Amino acid sequence: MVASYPRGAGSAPRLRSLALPTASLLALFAACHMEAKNPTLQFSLSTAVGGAAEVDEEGDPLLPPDVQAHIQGALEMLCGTPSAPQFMVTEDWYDDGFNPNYPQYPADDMGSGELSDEELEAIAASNELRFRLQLELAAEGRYDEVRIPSHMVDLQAYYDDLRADLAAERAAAEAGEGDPEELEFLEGELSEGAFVNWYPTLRESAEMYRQQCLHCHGVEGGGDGTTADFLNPRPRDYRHGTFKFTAMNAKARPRREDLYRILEQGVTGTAMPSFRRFSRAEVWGLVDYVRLLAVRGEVERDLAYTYRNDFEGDGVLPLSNVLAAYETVWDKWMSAPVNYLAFDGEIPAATPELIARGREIYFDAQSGNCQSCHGDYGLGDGPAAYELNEDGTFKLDENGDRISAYADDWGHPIYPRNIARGIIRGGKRPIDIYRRIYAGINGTPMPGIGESKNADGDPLLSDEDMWALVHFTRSLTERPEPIVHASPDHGGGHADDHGAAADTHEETH
Amino acid sequence: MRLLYALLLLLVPVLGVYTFVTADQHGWWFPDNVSTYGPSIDRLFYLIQAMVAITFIGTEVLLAWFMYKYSKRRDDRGVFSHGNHKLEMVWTAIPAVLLLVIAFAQMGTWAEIKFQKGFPDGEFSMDRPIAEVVASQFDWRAIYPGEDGVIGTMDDLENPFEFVVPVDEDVVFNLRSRDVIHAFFVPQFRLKQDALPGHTIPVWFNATEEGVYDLICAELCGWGHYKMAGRVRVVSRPEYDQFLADLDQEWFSNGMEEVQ
Repeated sequence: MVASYPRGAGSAPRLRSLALPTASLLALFAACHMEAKNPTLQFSLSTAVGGAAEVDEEGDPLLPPDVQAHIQGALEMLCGTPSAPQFMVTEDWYDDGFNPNYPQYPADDMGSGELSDEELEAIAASNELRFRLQLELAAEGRYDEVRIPSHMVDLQAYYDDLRADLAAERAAAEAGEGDPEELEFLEGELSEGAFVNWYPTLRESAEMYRQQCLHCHGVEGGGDGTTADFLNPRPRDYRHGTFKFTAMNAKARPRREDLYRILEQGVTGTAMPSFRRFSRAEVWGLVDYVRLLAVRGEVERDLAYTYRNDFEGDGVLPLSNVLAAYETVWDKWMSAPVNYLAFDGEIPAATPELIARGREIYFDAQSGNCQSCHGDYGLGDGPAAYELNEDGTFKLDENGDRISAYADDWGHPIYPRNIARGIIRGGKRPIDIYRRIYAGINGTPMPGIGESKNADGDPLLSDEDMWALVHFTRSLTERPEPIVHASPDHGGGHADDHGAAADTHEETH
Repeated sequence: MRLLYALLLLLVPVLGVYTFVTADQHGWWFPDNVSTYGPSIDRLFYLIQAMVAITFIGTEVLLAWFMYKYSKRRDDRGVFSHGNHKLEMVWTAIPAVLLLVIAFAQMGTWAEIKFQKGFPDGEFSMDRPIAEVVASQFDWRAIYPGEDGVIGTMDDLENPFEFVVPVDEDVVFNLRSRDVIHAFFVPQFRLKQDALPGHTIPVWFNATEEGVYDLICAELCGWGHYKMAGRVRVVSRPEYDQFLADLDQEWFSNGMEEVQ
């Protein structure tokens, strides 16, 4: 600024020197006041293994472009787009009155009836908190000052309509032609009903998903958002319909309640946080949208599979095949509650005797056989889970880390849990661990042993054995030292039995 | 022209004082204090605020005046100055004294909040904390000790996101981090404490009003720092006991109540 200029040049250069900073400041202000435009998102086809846009080694697509276009179009018809997500209602559903777009309404009255009356009450109570500022203003009749959160686009539209109707009704009342009942209804909706009974539409949930989930889980729910590359483990890819931490027996689809619980609790030890700061309705809405993405991904994989393996003719699959694939996927989701897994009885107390018995099962190659993967000390370093050299030692990669022998369903290497760290992703409650051991973990090599039979056809483990194993697993998570260490060299079973393993507690992988 | 620049510069203290005076009306000032030691933190803040305000306004006015008086004129020549020893002594001594004043003024408050030998020793103490609050990328969870009162055992109860405490009681909890440095910050409690990985840090407070308060991570902890929110819910003693009972029931549930 103090740059020298020729003497006697007048004041013009000074003014000019002001021009640049002034212009930049103005530009900055303008930029701050510009409306942030949301990019219009589009669903694309999956390039993952089994996806419709998968390519071979040379980079050529496995399915020709016209087939891909057909799949793309079919999916758009069935599940909509990110800005207008919607499940297609098939003819049968329409006749039955079933509509999966509205879980809050009864299954025979254009809804899917997946929210109990108690849950609907809880949602209303939670809405009262969520909208307390809006309700305060509306209670005073100051409808015009009510501001609605930006992602609730349909609530905004509904509220605007109500306000317009109210204005018209009031004008009519002044002219002596008004309908008092209608006026009362409008005022009731404006001051309370619209907020207390709010349940997000899929469009609103998609906007919420865009703000909260998309950066990790991706537009299509493929676990390939921009921040996904920074995460270990990677975010869940919904498109298989496989979810790891559920309350299901068998490799079934999760219930909506299972997804809700994950959103509410978060997944400890991963980047998935708890979403309890949002209202119940908002979290249920996210569950609905995640299910839409999962259904879309499953249908895509199904159609891609059919085109690659079973489809003889040229041209495109008939509509009936597409709809059949859609309904098959839906049936899996709707039948999820049948596979719900709980323990009918009182959970036995975690006595030292029971824990010691659990320890035996942990090491018993014929029943539990847990140590083969989870290791002698529960550190997740058992030989069966890793690549081994011929002499039985671990193969190591260039960083000196052991190499996993297995990949999960999504193609990522998978390691057995280090139980001794005390971080159990699927939940640390006894019943959570019971479900993991009983039914295994979907998409991973962790097997379920709850219903295994021995050579005589009898159950391998009694209920008490199962709980012994659960309590033993829980005892490994204790700190500073577990009650009983898993250690092949120890007699095991009592509180003072932990010396040898205490030093092996550092994180190994 | 030089008058214009001087006045422009003078806008800085004028706007600064204006925002300060009107901050309360706009809701930009402190949230209500609900902590027993909050008032002494606020007193310290106002003490420093007064010192800073006087210094800020004085130096800004002086700068504006200098800008007007000593701006370059067409035919001036520069003046060489070797400085002024007395002036420098004065402007070194005054801040030094002020720093000492702050250092002594804060000692009592610091000792009350942070010194472990002065920690509350009632129902909750450093040996028997109410819970362990664990920070991780990017959420908070409270781990209550369960029946045996010891954290890290099989009867622990975990509550994600929400830390529930009884009102009007001295509450001691342990703060831990699972990955990087986080900071436990509840503005209404006037309480901020870093959570360091590998350390278990005892913290205490006494909340004087029931309510729901935002728990914020106050240490840039990674890409998700902005969304690392939690909640502290201050409830009456009966509600607190009920909360623990409900949590215990949910924690040791056999899953059958969900069967429809």
